[in-house]
Amino acid sequence: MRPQDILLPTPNGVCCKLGGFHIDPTRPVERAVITHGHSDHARAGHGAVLATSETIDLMRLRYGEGFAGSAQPVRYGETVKLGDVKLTLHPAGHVLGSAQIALETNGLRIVASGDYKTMEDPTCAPFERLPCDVFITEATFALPVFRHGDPDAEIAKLLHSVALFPERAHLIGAYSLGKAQRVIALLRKAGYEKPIYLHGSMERITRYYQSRGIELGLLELARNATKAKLAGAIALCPPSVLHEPWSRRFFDPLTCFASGWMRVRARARQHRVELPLVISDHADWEGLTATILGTGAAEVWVTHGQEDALVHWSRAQGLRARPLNIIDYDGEEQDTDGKAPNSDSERP
Amino acid sequence: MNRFAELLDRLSYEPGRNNKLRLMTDYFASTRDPERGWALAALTGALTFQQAKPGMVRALIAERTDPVLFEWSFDYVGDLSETVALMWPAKRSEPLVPPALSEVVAALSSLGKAALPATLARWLDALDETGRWALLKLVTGELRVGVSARLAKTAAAALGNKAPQRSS
Repeated sequence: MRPQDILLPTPNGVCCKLGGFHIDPTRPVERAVITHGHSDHARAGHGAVLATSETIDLMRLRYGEGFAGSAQPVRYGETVKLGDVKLTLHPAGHVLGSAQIALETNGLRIVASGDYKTMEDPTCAPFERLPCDVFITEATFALPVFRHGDPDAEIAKLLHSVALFPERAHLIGAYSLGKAQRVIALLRKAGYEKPIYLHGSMERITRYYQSRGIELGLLELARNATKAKLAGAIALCPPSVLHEPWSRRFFDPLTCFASGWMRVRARARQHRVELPLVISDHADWEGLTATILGTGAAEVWVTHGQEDALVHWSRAQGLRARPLNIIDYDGEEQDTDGKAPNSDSERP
Repeated sequence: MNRFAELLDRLSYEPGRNNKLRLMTDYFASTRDPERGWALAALTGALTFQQAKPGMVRALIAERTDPVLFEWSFDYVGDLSETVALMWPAKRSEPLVPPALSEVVAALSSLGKAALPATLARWLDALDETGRWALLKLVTGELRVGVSARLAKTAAAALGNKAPQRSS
């Protein structure tokens, strides 16, 4: 049996005919297996959804009760039989509830890793390296210029700046699902105990993280705070509102952005960022290449991002490699917030 | 020169004059001589030494990286010093001591042309991404972080609560 008999890449996501399902389909399908809750992977309108209970909860939070015809939660490590295919979910280390999908049939094992990172993250289960024959990898940061470094050092840089500019609010653009909560957890780990202020659109997801036992300390909504209270504070908002009227409630805010893209200066300038924080929920170049080698896979399929560079590198290692060219995955390009950018804005 | 590199990094993103002043004054107040003296000289454009040519920097990175991946990365980043700073392969064997700015300036003014590539490579091995970027900007003479000589002197003068002198 060839890998493509099990999984067939289509423009709408990879399709498993034997098991009768799609993985992270970008169009509504009968049965979808979802790797994680970011809106480019988890869309509303499928007939049936299979995912971790966290991913299902996050989809319900964002899209409402009718987000799918039915939903089946699966625990990490639990095996589900779909047709002739055995399916298991394993932690991907990307955001809360994120999963890699391992498929096995006739002794052939394929792992679709979704979005993943191998770096430690206090807000989700750590990435599990799975031996397999075919590994499907993302390629968001698949250029050797992307090395994410130590997130604690980025937080130290932020806290130094807070000490140096005690009257200015530090306004951090961060994706609402995953990044925002990770930045808060990293700040707490570094000993920052003051209240952290949130943009309203982040509240529900952040409260959900807390309900799952993730300690985030004292959080308040920026819209309920006075201008005087916000002076010198740390606040988080979706990147899309950093320069919107919403940010005018802060006096002379210092614009920060927590993202892997901040490694490249032109990207940081493009977003008019004064303090770029290189903190990413995706694997960097080292993470991607070490993971590919670690799976022992002889064949690599590369999707969303810099496919060419990772395919080139994999072939140089003697592996079979191909790009999947699935459309409509944004990666970290957009604010993966589940809504159109405008709906993030609260009125000032 | 890690701390000097951090200062340059912050200055390059900070648009406000007063905020730039505060960043520089903080650096000058917490950095010893001769390091801060050289930093002031670098910021005011008063340093002269033999500069590295872009061709030399390209040759150094070509010895260490896949040419296809370099070209794609350069295309993406759009700046040679920055691309090299980001792609430079990390040395994991033993932690190396990053060079002080004073050491860099002293070596650049005394080193012969032939010895420059090996010395530069050794420094790059010991620095982090921001440090390598600052070093490459310095040695190629492209250090531009939006600070005028006058503004740098004003920041230094603030240390002693003095007004900067007209000329020096």
